[in-house]
Amino acid sequence: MNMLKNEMRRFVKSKVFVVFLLLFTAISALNLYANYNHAVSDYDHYKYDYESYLSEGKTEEEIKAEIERGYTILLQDKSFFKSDLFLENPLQYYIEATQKDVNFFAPVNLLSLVIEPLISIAVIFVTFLASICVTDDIKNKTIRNHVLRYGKTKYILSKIVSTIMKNLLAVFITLILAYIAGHVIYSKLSTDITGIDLTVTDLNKSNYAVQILVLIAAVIFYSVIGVFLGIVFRKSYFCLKIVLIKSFLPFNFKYDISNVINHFMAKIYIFEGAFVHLQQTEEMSDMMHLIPVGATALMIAFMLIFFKKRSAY
Amino acid sequence: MIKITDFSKKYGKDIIYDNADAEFETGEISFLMGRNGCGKTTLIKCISDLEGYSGKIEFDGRQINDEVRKDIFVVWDECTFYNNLSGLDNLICFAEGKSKAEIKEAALKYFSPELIRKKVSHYSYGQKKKLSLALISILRPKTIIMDEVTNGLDYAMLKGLKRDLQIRKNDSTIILTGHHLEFYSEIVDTVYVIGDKKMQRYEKKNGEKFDLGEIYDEYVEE
Repeated sequence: MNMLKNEMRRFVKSKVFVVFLLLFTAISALNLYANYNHAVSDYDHYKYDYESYLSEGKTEEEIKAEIERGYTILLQDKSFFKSDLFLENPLQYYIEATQKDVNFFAPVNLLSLVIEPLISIAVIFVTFLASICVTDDIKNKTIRNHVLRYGKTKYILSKIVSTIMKNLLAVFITLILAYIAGHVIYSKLSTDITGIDLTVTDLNKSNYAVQILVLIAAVIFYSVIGVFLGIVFRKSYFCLKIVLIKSFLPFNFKYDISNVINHFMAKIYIFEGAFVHLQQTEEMSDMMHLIPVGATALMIAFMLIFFKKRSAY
Repeated sequence: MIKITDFSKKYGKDIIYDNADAEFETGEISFLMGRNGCGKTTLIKCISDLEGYSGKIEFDGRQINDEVRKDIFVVWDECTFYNNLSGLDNLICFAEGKSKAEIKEAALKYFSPELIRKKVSHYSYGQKKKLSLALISILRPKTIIMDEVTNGLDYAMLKGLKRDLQIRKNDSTIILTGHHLEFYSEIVDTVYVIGDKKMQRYEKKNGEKFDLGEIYDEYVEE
């Protein structure tokens, strides 16, 4: 308990905490900003087409009828570098697109919006933070003082628990900040967008509990991965580099962690939000590519342990 | 007293100790002597329960447990402090159960108020050693082990260390290692020469001071 208290106190005072808090917050802010821009952009398209119809001499009743008629996608080409879309009668399409964008970051959905980037991009940082926290004592040799004081079992247990707590603390502070920012942006949006119903569907406040549990589970899971990588590789971050590279390659994000997470989250947590829209189920069969990477990382881990005669102490 | 019986330790195929025995008495300053890499630090790590071994290490008849742990402190040759924390914060971190005022008072005997508030990363090697000595003065452990403690200490600190060790030895078990033989010759009561996977004990004759250089030439060099 004493060690846990000391560890948390030390963490809050450290540069690592500030840096990672900034990273988590930056990711969430970027995500909020991107979705806000997306919503405004879709609404601008809607407005432009609406005004075009008016300039063509159509009455409001006729435009309403057009909207009810729906839209047809003539051509859609979406890749990492460009996105081409040709529509017939696009008004209804842009109404739906705007509603979907708003759904992504409406305050009631905010937790999921924060969780989503956290478990897709920020998990890499959760893993890194965990591995930095767990190797901290090895790097400073303070592991000797702690193990002598508490014994190996107690030390390792406290270290794992404190590492998870450190990650949870950083992530939850980000969550609170993102929640406040989400409220501000959402209220700004309701003045920017008029004529489209922005009521969020398929989610109510009771989902907060589920979302928080999902967040805790994700942070614990990736912290444990970080602890494992940290303990096995100590000062060598080679395996972490593999995780990082593999998470962002190839560039179309086919096999990245976010894909895995979104795939599973969409199954557990079904609503018209980020998880469902971002999952790329057709590529899930290709997740098998992760197996040789994992196997190589483990092989290197065992080789390092095998050739390293001296202990971490 | 620390009693070591049938102590064996190996790294892979390298056998460091093979059924070695030793007794480090309370009220005495014991000195471990041997060539570089003979296993002095390994023995300290085993006594501190940092590494596995076979055999028995007892502290006043007890195996290492939570209570025994509280009474052991090791000054390592390498700095074992958080570099990103100040000297004072490190002392607060490692001196659990002691009040901040008590810690600060002890720290100021070793450091100026400005220096104790500086990050350990700005400390010299000797200043880091001093920090360990400040921690000992706060914790007052029953078992004090110092691995090459004199490295980096200035003359004034060496004098203070000698005085401190002689005061503390009355109610502590003290084990030292190092290569600064003139310094240790004046204070040690028992010498253990490590070699051939064993520990050979030498005691002072008629209260005379040891000539550790002579012992080294005679038993280690050979």
